[in-house]
Amino acid sequence: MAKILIVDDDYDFVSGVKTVLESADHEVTAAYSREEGMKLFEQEEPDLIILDVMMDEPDDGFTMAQDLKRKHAKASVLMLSSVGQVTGLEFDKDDEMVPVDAFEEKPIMPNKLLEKVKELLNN
Amino acid sequence: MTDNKEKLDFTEDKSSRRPKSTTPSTVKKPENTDALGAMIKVTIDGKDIKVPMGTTILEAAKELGITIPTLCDHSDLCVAGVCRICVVEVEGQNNLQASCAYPITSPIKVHTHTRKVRQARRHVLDLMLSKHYGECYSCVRNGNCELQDLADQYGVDFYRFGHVEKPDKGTDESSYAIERDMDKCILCRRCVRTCVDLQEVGVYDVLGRGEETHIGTFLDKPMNDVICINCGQCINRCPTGALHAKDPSDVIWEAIDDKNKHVVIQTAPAPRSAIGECFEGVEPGTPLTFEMNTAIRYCGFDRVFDTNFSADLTILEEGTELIERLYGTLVEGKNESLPQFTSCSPGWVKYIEHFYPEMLKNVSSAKSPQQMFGAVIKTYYAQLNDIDPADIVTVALMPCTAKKFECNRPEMNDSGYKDIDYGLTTRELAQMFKEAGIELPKLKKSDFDDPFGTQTGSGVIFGATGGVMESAIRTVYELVSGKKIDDLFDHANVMPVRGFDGIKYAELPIEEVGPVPEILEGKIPNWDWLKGATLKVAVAHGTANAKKVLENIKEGGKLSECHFIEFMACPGGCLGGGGMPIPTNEEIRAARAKAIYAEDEASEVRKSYENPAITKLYSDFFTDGPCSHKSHELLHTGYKVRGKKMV
Amino acid sequence: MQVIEREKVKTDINDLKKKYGDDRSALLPILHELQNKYNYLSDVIMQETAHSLDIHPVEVEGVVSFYSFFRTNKKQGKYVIRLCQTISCDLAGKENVARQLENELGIKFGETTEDRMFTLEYTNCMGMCDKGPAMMVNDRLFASVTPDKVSRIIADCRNNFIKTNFPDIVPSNVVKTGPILESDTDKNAGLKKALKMKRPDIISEIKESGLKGRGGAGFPTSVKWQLAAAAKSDKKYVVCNADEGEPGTFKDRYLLYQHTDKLLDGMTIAAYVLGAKKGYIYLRGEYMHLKNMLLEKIEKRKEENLLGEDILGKGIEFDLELRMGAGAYVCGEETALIESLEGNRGEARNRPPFPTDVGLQNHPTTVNNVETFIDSALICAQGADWFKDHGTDRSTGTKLFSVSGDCEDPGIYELPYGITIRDMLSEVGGEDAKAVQVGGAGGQCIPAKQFDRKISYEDVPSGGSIIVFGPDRDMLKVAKNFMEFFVEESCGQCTPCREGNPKLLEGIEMLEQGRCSSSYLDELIKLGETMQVSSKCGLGQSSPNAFLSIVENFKSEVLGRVPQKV
Repeated sequence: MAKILIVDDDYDFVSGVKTVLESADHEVTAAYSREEGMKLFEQEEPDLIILDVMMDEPDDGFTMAQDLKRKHAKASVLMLSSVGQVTGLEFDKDDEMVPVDAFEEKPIMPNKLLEKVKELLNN
Repeated sequence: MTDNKEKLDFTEDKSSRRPKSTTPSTVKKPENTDALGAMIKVTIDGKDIKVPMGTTILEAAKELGITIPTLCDHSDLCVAGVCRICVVEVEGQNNLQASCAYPITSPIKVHTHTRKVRQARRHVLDLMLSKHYGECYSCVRNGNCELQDLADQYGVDFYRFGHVEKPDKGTDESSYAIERDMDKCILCRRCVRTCVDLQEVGVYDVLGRGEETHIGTFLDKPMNDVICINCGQCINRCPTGALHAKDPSDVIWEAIDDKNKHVVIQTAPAPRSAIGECFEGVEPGTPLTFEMNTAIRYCGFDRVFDTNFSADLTILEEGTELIERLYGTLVEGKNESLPQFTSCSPGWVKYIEHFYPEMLKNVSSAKSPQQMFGAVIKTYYAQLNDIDPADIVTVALMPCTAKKFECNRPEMNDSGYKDIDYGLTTRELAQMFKEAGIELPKLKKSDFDDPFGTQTGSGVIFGATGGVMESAIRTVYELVSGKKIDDLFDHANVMPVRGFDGIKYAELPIEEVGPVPEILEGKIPNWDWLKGATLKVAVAHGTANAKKVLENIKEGGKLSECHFIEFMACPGGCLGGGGMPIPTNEEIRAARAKAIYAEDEASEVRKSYENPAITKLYSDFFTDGPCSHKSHELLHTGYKVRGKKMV
Repeated sequence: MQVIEREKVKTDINDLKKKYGDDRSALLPILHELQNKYNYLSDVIMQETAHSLDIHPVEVEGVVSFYSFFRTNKKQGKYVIRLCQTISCDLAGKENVARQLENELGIKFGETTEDRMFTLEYTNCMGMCDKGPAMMVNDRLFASVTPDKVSRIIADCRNNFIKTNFPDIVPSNVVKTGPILESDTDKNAGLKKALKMKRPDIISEIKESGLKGRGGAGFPTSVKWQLAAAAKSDKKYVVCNADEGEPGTFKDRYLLYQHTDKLLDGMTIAAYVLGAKKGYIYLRGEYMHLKNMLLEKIEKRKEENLLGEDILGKGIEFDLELRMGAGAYVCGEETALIESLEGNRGEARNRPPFPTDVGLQNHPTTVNNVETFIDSALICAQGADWFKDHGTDRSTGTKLFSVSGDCEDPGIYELPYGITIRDMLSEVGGEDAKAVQVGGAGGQCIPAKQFDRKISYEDVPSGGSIIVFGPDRDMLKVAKNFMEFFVEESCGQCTPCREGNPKLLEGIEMLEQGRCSSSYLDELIKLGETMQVSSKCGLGQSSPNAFLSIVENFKSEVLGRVPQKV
């Protein structure tokens, strides 16, 4: 039972993730852009943020993750993106450029998502 | 037998040298479509569909039953995105997008026939027509031309930007196999991608820039002077009549009309599985073997023989050669060249002569079935029927354009005459039928002529990749072990060497050995030296795969341990040959393969050494058995070191 | 004889492979060197190069025939004279120079003199637009050539340039400076400051500045850097696009020459941000005269510890290599440039993937324009706010403009984005202009009635090329010059661009002869629109712009002509 903010511009994906997370009794709010995401982050103070990368700008997710780090956000961040497949490059978390708690490639199996969420919430 | 495909990794991409301009971004499709984000919603012309991430717009539209025209796109080739006929409108983007090269990674809305799209496509088409010598009546592809189809579909009723009224480039007729008429080229680059990527031969590339851009050979040399293996894969993928085979049907008609000539035709295994495609309403994979015999006689050929006969003969000759090489190496301590390579595919033979001449000693000296048959007809058959071989005209119906080159090799006249006079492709025979007013699918069936017997399963599977190997395994295993191959494989179907994997590898342990069969008596004392051995074989089709195999052998990789390797120049083997009906794609080739294996399954004789016509030939003519002096004289050949230099 | 030559060539290629690598990406530099040595690329050279790099001879020929600087013709003079035929030099009177060259040498363009001393050729824009007509003799540059200078240049050639009054490098005229050109920060201030910053903070600063690609496409620099920086890879590349081929642009030539250190600072900062250890400057073949100077600068920076294994003692490694283009306008397009670096024909790639995602040899790569790197270095030194102080909201900063054509003071101007064309014309002394071509050959031709439009990404975008057309200019001739350019420079890949441009040119010739119906002209306008939306790359998409804007804005001037009798 946690507050989760999902930031992703794919409405279908958001509603899918929402259903899965709500079935595990989490409270989910959704933002569809980086700006909206930052606003809701301030408002809602979520425990966990699920963050896409390519939104209005192809690097929005990275920028937001870096901003969150600058703000010393307490929430864990799960970066969930298909940026690797789309660009043909490899991505993963790191301390500097991709300062998130976990990086997962889309698509993701629902049980794996729940597992990952649980793991991050327990930390 | 174990199927060791998984132990071999040939997926490593050594083709980093390929321009990525002709490679689209390929987004790997998700393994599990239940995963969140695996399926992306696309709306095309108002219809919604969810497709796996990475699906192209073109594929998604196809699933929705929406047709988007294509020209440069071909399922066997990497995406080029150059013709621009497949453009569509994607909402939110100013420019139209090439649907063949657009992988869907986020939800999009697509429109395929807006005013903007229609205008663009019509312009693209008009621009192509303005540079295409569209004299359809006299074109070999009349009625089967992708450009003609598009002009029809788009209602082209005038040439908006003019058109070519007089050809100014002329046709290059220098090659025995492939003719190029660049006045009809629309620069889709399929031939380039075929030759460079699919076959790794590299005859063509795009030369020049801007208005001067054209598809050329090195220094625009004629086809006969460049390194071409005559496989004809470029012809199969050309959307127009810019590339076509050299057609001998006129001279064949003349021979038929000449009362003094005895015109015989042999028909190879692959054409029978596909010739129906040239007739309306016949699905790929409909075998018309025996209807074709009737049609051939109706045309006026004097005899029709089955190449299955000489395919079986090849197995005996090549198989014996293999046993001799193995015996030499394992028992006599000789340094015989192993693995032995097959030699049936003339495209492959020319490939190795050019690119790996240092490995020519590995190639079996056995002639291809086509050439063996020619030599036998002009000697054994001529004697038997008391016909002067000078009066015999041998025609070979082949799925192949390289066969046209092969029969013109100067060394291929051991009978004292040209073993084979003309190589005729499946397409060309269908054309002859049409000219003779024959509706092939409606004809009655009739059998092949004696004395070369009728269809055998071991012969017919030569038409598919792995077929030569499968036949060899059936015969060699039984001759060596004295047991039935059926004990190892259901119905003697050697599954590990079948299928369209680029390179197949298999192992065949020989646990027990039997007595030396009569046909091999005198060649070896016994089989004891093979007891407990494991026969290792591989199969490659398409010369790009052949290249991988040869490189692996050179590096001392796993394939260097093989004893016998089958190579076919064309993707899919002969059923994908350069003389087969157009179009071609993996689906069509699979249908042809299915037909071929069905014929095999239905055949009475499925092992070459059991073919009674073969037994008779060895008892009556090649009395010293396979690989004897006489058979070497007539049924074997040598190769030429050609190298890569062009002068 | 042939055997000996073949063996000699083989040895040369093996030596060159040691220098440039043994895969296809070494192809262009190897061909350049072989051509220098043997004067032309014979079929033996092409075959041996192909076999040595494990590609097919026809693929090498495909590359050789793509770039206009490669020659396969044995009959080539010792001195190849290339006269610029592009718009600004055309306006400046290249026709008279051409005539005089032919007179002096007794040959036509495309020919070689009997004694094999001279070959005459036309070439496209060589970045000397403010000092036209320009020409090159081998790698040597000549500006403001007049018919009377021609004989002196030829005499110098015959003397092997032992003594010449012509300068080696012709500098450009900077007419107006601004914050970028005036910036008098300490040497390497930007680099020094940047290396103390965290990598995301540099990106954040650049993002904040609003800096967009100065080449013309206007893609945010920060986004390019961010994606390549976030990607994980053992190899990453920083590439400087110094293939300034847009007709009417010459500011990069000036920057490369006068502001090299800031450029290299910018590239090194990008390398630090990306984690790239290797960079390339892709310098257009026409700028061969800058090659040695740049190589010396790179060497010097290595000595000063500004390049190399441990830059400024910060443990940062970055090595820089100069790669020469070979005469192909399309290589200014990012993906075509990368193709060229990989040893291919400079053909643009499919999109998607979008430019941010496209990498050299599939590794994370950023490709930026010369000016963009310089701006980045200055933003690091002086902050985003300093930069944003100029320009508009969506087009921040000042921009270098290359001004040529019918105006009093052609040259380089640093002006803020958002400036109206009218204001710009009064800066350059071109108030009486009847039209201005903004953005080069692929840009738009703005007629006088639209001179209040603003030069910015949101209105009339420009990579910096401004060509002024005076009141007496024949706009049809202008359009013809542009179309001739595209007919030659199209890479030839996609149908709309390859076949469409010749049709537009043909239309212009019909207009010239006064035999184009307005309905056919409408058809051509529609064709132009098709080319804009359906060509594969930016070149094709922008190629009909000049034609469209000229025939639409000057319809009465171009229709109904009475053909001129010669």
